Amino acid sequence: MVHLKKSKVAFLSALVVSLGITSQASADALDTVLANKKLVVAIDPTFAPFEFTDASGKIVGYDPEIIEKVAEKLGVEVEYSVMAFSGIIPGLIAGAFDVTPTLNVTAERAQKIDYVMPTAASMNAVMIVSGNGVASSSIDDLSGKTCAVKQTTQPEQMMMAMNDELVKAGKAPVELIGFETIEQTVAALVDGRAACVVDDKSVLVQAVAARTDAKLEVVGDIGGTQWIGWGVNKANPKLTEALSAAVKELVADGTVSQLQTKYFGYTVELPTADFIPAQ
Amino acid sequence: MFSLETLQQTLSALGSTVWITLMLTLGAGIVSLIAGSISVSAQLGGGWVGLFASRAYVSVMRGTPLLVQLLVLSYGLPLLGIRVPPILAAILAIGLNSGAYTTEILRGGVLAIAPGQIEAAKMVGLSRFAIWRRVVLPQAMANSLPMLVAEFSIILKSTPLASIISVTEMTYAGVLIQARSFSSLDVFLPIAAAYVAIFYAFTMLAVWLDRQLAPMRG
Repeated sequence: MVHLKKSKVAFLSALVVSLGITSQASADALDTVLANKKLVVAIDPTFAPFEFTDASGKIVGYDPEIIEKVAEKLGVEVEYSVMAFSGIIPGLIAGAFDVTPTLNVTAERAQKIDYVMPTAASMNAVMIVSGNGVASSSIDDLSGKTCAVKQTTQPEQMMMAMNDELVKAGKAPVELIGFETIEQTVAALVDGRAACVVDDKSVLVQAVAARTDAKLEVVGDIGGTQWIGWGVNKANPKLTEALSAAVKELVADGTVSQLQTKYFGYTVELPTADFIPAQ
Repeated sequence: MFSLETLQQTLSALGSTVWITLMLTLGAGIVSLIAGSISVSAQLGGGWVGLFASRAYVSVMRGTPLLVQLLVLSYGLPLLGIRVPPILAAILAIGLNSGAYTTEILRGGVLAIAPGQIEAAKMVGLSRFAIWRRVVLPQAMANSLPMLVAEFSIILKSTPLASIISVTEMTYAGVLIQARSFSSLDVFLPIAAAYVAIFYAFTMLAVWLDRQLAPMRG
């Protein structure tokens, strides 16, 4: 009984503490990382090509490759803590590990955690069959055309929002036809049911490479860019700064754009400051 | 899309993570039984303090999601300076959560015991503690066995939640393979079969135990 009450007290105080305090007032994690020669990285490797596992279970991908190069620069080893995504940000805030890669940079998250300079961007693009009459990826050129999208995805929602704008401006909306998979949208484009496909750019680049028989072409980007970066606990500004500096060096010497070509099939210019969206 | 290669990878991942799932399930099951026994004892024989503590425990555990309890326990304890390995934090969280339900199951089992037995035990001079430990609790467990088996199956199916605090058990091992192979059936059918096998083995054990306990049932 006494034991139970003790553990209950511990449990309740843990609840109170975890609600009230986000991290301990201790030294910057950079000191610990350098002293232990170990960078603890939380990762949910289920998001190819950013972070995934190979057949032997080893963690691979775009961000792990950059992280390992960054660790090399700092003279430390990478230790992965593999976990499902829903545990990652709470764990980061509780100080259970040093850094986590591949987070969308959002204003909401930026209030809770700090971001290392972005390593990638997610953006949507428009794919067509060359010479099928779609001049560019600008929304005015798509007005009145039929586009294939995957149902309930972010690109579909973005196109719906753009349609509202078109209608408000008195123009014809883009007619959207929804499918379950990217293969089905490509099939609709190839047999002429759709004039374009709107999806994540890296996905479209892969489709172009896979269907060399069909004269597919990514005609341009559409909508805004969302940055993807690594998260660090707000208590460790020195660690964030050191990681950003190392990423910056890897951008400068061309390593990052090389990796972008390797994993995404295209390169993207990365910002070093002011990358947190306002809203 | 069935691929022999994916199946092989899944089986090898199962081989290394089935122990983690077993450890989580058995560990949490034991924690649940202990917590449930202590809590039901406090509720029925611990005066108003015991009653209050037990009711509070049951309400907190039943009234909050297991996911939240897992996060509070594994990330809250380090803030108090208590560091526990993730798997132990998961066993404690799942076990303490289940203990609340076990409390209620055992309470039903205790109330089903004929009051005459306790009077008889008093007559032969057993102490209150001895009556509780030797007469009441064993029979309560025997009475509650079918419900406890059901509770155990819930524990087994809660173990994948441990993956959010970096415990790679069977389901998350499958998720990792699915994410790179993009195939589901050849990953999750063997995993589902492994869960059924664990549950079946435990049910067999419970049937055996049920026969052993039959003479004790009140």
